[in-house]
Amino acid sequence: MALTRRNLLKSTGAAGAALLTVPGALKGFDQFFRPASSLSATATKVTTCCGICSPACGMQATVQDGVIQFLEGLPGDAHGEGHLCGKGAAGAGFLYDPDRLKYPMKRTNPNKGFDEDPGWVRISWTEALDTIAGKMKGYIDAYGAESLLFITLPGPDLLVRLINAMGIVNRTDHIDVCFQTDRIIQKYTTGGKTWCNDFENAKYILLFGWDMVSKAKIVYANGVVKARSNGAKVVHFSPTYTATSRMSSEWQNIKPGTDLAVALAMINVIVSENLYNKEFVDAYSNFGQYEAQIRSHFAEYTPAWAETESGVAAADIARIAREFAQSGGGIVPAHKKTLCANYMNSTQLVHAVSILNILAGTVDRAGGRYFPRTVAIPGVDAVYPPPAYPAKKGARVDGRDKLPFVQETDSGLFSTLADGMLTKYPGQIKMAFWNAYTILAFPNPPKMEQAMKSVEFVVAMDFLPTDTVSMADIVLPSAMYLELNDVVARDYQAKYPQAMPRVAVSAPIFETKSAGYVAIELGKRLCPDYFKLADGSWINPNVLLDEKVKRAGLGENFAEFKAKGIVEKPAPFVPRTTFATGDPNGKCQVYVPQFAAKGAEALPKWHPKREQPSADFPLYYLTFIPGIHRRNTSENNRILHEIMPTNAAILNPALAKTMNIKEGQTVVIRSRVGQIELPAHLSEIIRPDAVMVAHGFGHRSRYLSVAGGNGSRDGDVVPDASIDDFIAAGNYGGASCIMDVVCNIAPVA
Amino acid sequence: MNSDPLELGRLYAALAQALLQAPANDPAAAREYYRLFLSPEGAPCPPWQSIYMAAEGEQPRLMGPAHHSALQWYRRYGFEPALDNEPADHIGLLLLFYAHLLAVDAPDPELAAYEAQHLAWVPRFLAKLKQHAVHPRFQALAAELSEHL
Repeated sequence: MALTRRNLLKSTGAAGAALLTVPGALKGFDQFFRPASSLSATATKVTTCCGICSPACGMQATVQDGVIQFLEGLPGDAHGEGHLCGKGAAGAGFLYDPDRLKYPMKRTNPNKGFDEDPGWVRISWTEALDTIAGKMKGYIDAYGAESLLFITLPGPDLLVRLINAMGIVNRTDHIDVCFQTDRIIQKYTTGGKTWCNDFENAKYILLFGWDMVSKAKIVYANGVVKARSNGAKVVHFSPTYTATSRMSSEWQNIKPGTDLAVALAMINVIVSENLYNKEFVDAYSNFGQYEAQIRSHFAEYTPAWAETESGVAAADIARIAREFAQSGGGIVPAHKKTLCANYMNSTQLVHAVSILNILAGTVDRAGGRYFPRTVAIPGVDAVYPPPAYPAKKGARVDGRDKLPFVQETDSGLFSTLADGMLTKYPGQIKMAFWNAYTILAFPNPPKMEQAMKSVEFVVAMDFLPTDTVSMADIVLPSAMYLELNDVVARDYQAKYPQAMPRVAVSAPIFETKSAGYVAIELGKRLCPDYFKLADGSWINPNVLLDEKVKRAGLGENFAEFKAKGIVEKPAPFVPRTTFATGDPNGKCQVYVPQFAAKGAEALPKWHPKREQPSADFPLYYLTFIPGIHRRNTSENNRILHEIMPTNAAILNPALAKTMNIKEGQTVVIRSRVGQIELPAHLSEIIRPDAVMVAHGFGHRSRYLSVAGGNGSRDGDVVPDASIDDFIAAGNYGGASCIMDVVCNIAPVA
Repeated sequence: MNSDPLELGRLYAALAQALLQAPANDPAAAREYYRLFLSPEGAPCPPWQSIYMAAEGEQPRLMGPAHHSALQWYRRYGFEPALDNEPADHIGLLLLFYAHLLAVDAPDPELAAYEAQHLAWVPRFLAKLKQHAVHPRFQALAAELSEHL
């Protein structure tokens, strides 16, 4: 380094800077610097909670000059028990990612594609919001509100208010690839989706697929470990040997997509041998009312039959069913992708799982699935009741309105969206607003890219660059959970009500803003009556948060709540005796008459998975989300990248030997819709008739400095679907079938 | 040859401003500025020192140790960056502050310490700028900065 006053003196000095010289002594210094204020450089600790996933583990942030130096678990917290998972601990790696979206930008090159230079230029928030509002109004006036598509979770509540106020029918989210089927089933069988599993008091835990020990959430992983310590038996059905298998008492290497057969056969055994919890079942379920139908229905699903479908020995199925039923505390959790969404028969599977919990008599009982005793946090519509919302008109491009039970949940269908946009309702969507989702999240992403190219105007709001940004006309930089205040009610370990403040430990960096801010600003421009209060002022998100805290009984305002940290309201756990299932007597429903009334199955029937191995595609294709990554949003996090930088085709050495595939060799995986190339990784953890690829890799975004172009997109091999496929298959829960795939594999020469 | 520290300060202030703000009246140059430094798809020439000089054993990130060190320097001389939500170790801020040190005739040991702590990474930034700059304005900027290094 030689930049010194001495060699400067030898230089041509200011004359050399003619291109850039501005007159005046140090012109601009005052523009970029101000007198020092009292900002403290002393590190402080702030109590908050994580925002990586929904349990929101308690967290302490060490902060210096507004910059997070370290994140750690909060001692005494019921969810994290003083710990964070790898993703939570790496939170600052998201916040301070060099690639973080920083300012609103607009595209100046109208041609879109990964090989085009978009010609991004920075714009003000005002210009961005004016442009978006103008486009929304223009499209609604010309084509109706059904021409707008919002790809966002139903939050924050201010954004939902905007969507409702504008009568926008097409809001969709990823819940179909997650837990939507379970949400529907639990609503009608036990009275509502719950995330609470009382593992530590369970006697017998049956896990279908879900690798809950290696996957965050800490609260579940700790729960299983405690259960084992307390002497509970844990049985894991999974086609791969995972950390959960290792932690279990027994691992059953099941054929992919056949868990339903085992669950049906277990019900058969428990019912036919009258092993169910008679006291609970008689008092709190409709088993008695439909007993004849139930006994008759499950009679054909014998363990011997299930063995032929699943490969699990009939004797084992019968034994596990008996052990489970007689344990005095059996629980079968149902969670996300690995159980609820993978296969065309996943809806039936989660129904069977719910029945097993009812038969065990542990619904809202010790050792079972229980309903959270939680703090009710009012939404914006409760705090500031809006004028009546307009009726939503027009077609749902994802076809959700054709599946009445999915329609009721108000979640979306990622798996049918591209087909709807391109085939069923081509040209309907003129404008898309993406909030924190990427094309990578969809099955068959190339088709989703094609669908997005059919949209005239795209807005992408995110905190990190994604492939969606590459397709956008306007990019809005989003503040993230470490930069925003919020109130979070506990609903994973919630035997009594608890709430935590989520604290803005760092001011939003650069010009990042919240989706709530965007909603208010668009609301002011488009539907002011919904964002104006009685006194004529606009909704203020800080005042709204204060009001939520106050109405929830957590403090006078957010500042007071923040000072308290965790607020707990201990109360005795009183088990429910009525269940809001729709049953007139308030009972749990084994037999669901509401399903039958709308053409679905009142009791779960056997359906084979959508795709079966064939001569062309002889292998099962499995995907997974690595425990160290969060869906498809963390691969650019340098800390997490260091731990797991890329993906591979994981296959059994026995299979590799038959194909002459060596460790590290590039292989091609093909399915009926696409192919990917990636290195082979040989491992005994997987069956010889399957191949497995981690989700989340293969981002295409240009210059995305860590994740861009790194690894392969698992979804390129996964077929998307049409809504007609789902209806024909009896997939009334809209399971997205993201693992219902068969493939072949070959070495690349 | 110009030996007036104030003039030298002006030179660095001018270079700093060219790095801190997109050109106002040249749309093509402005696009190049955003592409190089701020592209929402990931910029090829990030202008923050923390990205080039991570702490021992750590991955590069915004607001790293260089941000805090720069803040300390500014504060010792009675200043802070005007935008407190942005990193203090932007190359433009660092050059502008260096210009200030020259203008106030800071002692040589001070200058040497500042150079060692906050300008040693600049050649790596310039190498990227030379590699990726297409527009003549930024090619010239890269050349001019290099000339004085």
